Amino acid sequence: MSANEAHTAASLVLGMNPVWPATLILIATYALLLTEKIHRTIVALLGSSIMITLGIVSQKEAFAGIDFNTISLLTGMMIIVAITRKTGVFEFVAIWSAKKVKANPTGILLVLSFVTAIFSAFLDNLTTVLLIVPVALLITEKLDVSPYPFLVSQIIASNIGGTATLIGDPPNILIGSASGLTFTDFLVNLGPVAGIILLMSVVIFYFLWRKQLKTMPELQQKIMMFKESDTITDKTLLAQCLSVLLLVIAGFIIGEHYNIRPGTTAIMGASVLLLITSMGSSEKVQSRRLHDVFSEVEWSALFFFMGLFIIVHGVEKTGLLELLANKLLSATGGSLSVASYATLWISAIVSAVIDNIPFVATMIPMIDSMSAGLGGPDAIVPVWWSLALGACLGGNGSLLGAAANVMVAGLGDRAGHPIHFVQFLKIGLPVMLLTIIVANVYLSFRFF
Amino acid sequence: MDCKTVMHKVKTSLYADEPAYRAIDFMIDNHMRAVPVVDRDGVFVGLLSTERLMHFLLPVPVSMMRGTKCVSYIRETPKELHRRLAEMGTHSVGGLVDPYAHVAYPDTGLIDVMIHLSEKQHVVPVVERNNNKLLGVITFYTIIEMLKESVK
Repeated sequence: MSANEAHTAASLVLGMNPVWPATLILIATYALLLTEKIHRTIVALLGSSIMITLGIVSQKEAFAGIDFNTISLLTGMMIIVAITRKTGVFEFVAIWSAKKVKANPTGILLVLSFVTAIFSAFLDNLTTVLLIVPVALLITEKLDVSPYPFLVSQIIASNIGGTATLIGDPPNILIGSASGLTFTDFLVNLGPVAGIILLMSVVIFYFLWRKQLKTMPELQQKIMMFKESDTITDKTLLAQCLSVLLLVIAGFIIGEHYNIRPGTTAIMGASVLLLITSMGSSEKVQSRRLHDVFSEVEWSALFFFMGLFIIVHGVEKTGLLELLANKLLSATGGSLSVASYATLWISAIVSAVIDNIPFVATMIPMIDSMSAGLGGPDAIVPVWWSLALGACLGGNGSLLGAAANVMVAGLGDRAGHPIHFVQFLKIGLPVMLLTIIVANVYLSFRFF
Repeated sequence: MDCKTVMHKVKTSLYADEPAYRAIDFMIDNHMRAVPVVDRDGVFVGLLSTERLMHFLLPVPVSMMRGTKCVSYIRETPKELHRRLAEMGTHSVGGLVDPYAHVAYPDTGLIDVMIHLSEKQHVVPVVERNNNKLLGVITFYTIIEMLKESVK
């Protein structure tokens, strides 16, 4: 459908230029996401359905607007993680690390921050905090220390770790898929700055909480008595999962040279893991296992992405995002550095307030539109890094900044240790501002 | 068949304001795995089961929703279990029950209760539709008793 046809269809319904209903849908979607009164997947699916029903995009166009590379990458990694988590390897690493620092509470706080950041770089943040936070809570219970520093540090570490790679955080997946930037590109360009920011944050954690994290030697001894090897119940499955995970990461790096997109690599890895873990089982057992694994896939998140892609595609089609991009371009005076810094700070501030996924999905076509005015696709690469850094690190700005933050707060609440919005803001916001300043300095030294 | 023709009356009630230890003794003495709990007016407030009590004996990060289940590395001492048992004892029975337990009404078909008994609960309380007063309960044994009686 051409823009004119879209105009005609929308005019038939509302008698107005399609840019208005599309803008209304986008604003309503953002508003509903911000209030969190209705589940985000329902909001995205409703918005996308209205977009199609009003004829702003045809169904065919809407489906073509869905980024199936992102959907495949998310699905593949969810399947791999669903199988791998059953091996107990994540708990093993957490307990092993705690024992390596002789169960010293401050040491555990720091080492678990590193563990969470590293896991978050290669798994999604939600999964990471779901696996590590209950273990951290258990350790704090045994050591009789406040779990609050552990909960806050887990949030911050997961958001920083997720910044480092293409697969670490959904905004990076979206950016990588849209821009064509590879796994290696992300690791080389964002890995070092994420590492610096993590180290800096860990130093802050140390000075902030070292005095209140005191325990008794006999309680430390309890942790030292933990037999972490007992968490690994199926060594064969562990070997299979780790092999596939390593091959998938290698596939992300090598595949880029052969035009194999990350989505294909992730689905291939998930299929191979499903195959090798099913071999030798009866059809009934295979069916049950498959059902178990698929029940752990976050279908609501996948449908949220699909709905969002359609909404953004519809808005993009009306020319609104191009219009906004031109305005942004003229505001920056066509300067690449100003555009990068503006993207970094705007992304960070917006991501601290609302879910960074819809924001990044909206920003991508805008940055694409600015490309010509800023010197072409190769020249705007620093703007993509600014968007990734701002969106991921901005998540630390408030308790609502990222899904992982809300998850950790929920876990803390259920364990009887709620984190309050303002309480988190007092640490999260300064850390976020500090990390964005570091990111800004990094961008200026690295690219300008 | 509907529930009012099958249910059996509860002989001794467990009240929501009683201490938790009374519930444990009550369940041990009567060899019961699940007991309906009522307030002093006889209104059903929730179901207390041994599974539910066992939750309180586990560390919170394990028993909570989305808690860690991969904890084979822990070797706890009786002292630690005693501490959690003592903590559980500080609650009233009403604080331990599952308030969202499935209930049936006198005119509910037995088949619906049988499905619940086969999948979720050991006991299905039968309550008055308009005021939630406990009228009786249905368990697997209730149904078997009823079947034996019907043969006679």
